[in-house]
Amino acid sequence: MTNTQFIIDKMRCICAQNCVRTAPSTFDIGGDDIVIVLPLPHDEWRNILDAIAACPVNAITYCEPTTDFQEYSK
Amino acid sequence: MNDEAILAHGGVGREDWERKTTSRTGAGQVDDPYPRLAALRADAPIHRGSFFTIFDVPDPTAEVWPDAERFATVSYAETEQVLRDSETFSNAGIRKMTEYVFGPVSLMGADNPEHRKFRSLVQPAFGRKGLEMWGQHVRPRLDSLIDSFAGHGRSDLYFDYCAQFPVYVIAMTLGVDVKDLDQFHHWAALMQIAAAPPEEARAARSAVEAYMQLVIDQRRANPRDDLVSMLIDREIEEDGVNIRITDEQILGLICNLLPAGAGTTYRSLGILLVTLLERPQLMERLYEDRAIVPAVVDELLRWNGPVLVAPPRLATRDTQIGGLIIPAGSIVEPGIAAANRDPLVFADPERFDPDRGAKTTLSFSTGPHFCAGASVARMELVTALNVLLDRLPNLRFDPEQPFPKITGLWYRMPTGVPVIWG
Repeated sequence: MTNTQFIIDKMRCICAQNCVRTAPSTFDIGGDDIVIVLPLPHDEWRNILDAIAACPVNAITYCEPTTDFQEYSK
Repeated sequence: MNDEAILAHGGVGREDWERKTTSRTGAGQVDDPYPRLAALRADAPIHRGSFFTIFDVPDPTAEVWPDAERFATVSYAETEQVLRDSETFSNAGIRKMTEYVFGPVSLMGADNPEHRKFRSLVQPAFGRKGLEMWGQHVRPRLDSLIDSFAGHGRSDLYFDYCAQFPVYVIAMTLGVDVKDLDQFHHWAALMQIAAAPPEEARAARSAVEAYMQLVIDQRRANPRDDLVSMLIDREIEEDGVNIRITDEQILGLICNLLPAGAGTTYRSLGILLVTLLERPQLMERLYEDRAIVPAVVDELLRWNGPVLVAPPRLATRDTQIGGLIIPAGSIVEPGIAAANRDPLVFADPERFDPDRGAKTTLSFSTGPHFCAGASVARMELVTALNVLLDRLPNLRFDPEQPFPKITGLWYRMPTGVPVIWG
């Protein structure tokens, strides 16, 4: 998961699945009913941004590729 | 049929029952609220008063907050703001108003962290695996309902079909005996928020609790693949220690679930069918292309959903929305239906258009209280429409019956779905 540009806050995720419905090639539901990021996200960028905004509990963070991952993983 | 007769009869999904439990919240008094909502939204994103007073309908919640200032949001951005900011806009304000239905455990009437604690207990029932638990009861029920009237050549689908399956699915998932279904259906009707007088709702809750206590006892002895069996083993964290869920808490969660999933789903299906039958070309397209069914369902929920207002919020501090000062202690009604037709978010918002590729709507709310059962509701609606299309060709309005209309303020519903087919 360290290569991903998206961080899912597992403590927040409530499995509303808004992201899965908006960007189904980027987000999915994992075995523990928490959202996971798929290995090769390839939805349209517009839909991915909508998916992030649509999360009811703001559980998805997008990391700029240039940003150090560590900064977001705390 | 008078009220006593309905009670004696069980009143399952019949018209009288429907009128009785929804007239308190505006059914029959407001049919199409949308032109007014559009005018309000064009004027300001938030207005003084409750939706009841704005629409000149007696407010069944007035006695709950006699001294509170009341506000109602009608734009998408401001409605979303209220729903997401659960610290400023607390759900605690509705605890009192819903206590007679939910009892001591209230998902809808609690804020985090208490809300999260109980929500995480029921969450697995609505994930991908949980969906199968509900889904196994859906298609068989729908098929047997159609079997029961298919030979008649005509039906009022609202009462014969829509109203006959969501409560059934909840009941079966809870482990209710099928012979008690009518009784259970009646309790569910009385337990809808603000639908029945509080003393009737309270009596219905006590009856459900007594019934479900027996089921809990049975499942403790012999677990099955159902919701009660799933709940009895779960643990709750109290002061850093995990302790097993109590029977009172399980009963509380059940009484939260019933009002949430009973009426909303079948009213959505009824509104959906009326909307589609008014559009024969779209019906034709649906018969040929089932892939569009989920988009049709989502667009219906945006365009004319079963609930006009999300549960009212209590302002915990002085704040501002859309330029209006909201004093602490005010009650704010999130107008989700009005938000879902906000032209700033949806192009040509008054048009029912399944091809719009809608962005996420507020139909299931947003924020920490996002509808826990949304995935079950969607699955039920998609399946129910597909089964109808599978079984009944060339569905159309019954020309011998009065044309149905969609009515209601807080809860929205059709007056019926009279059809013929073939």
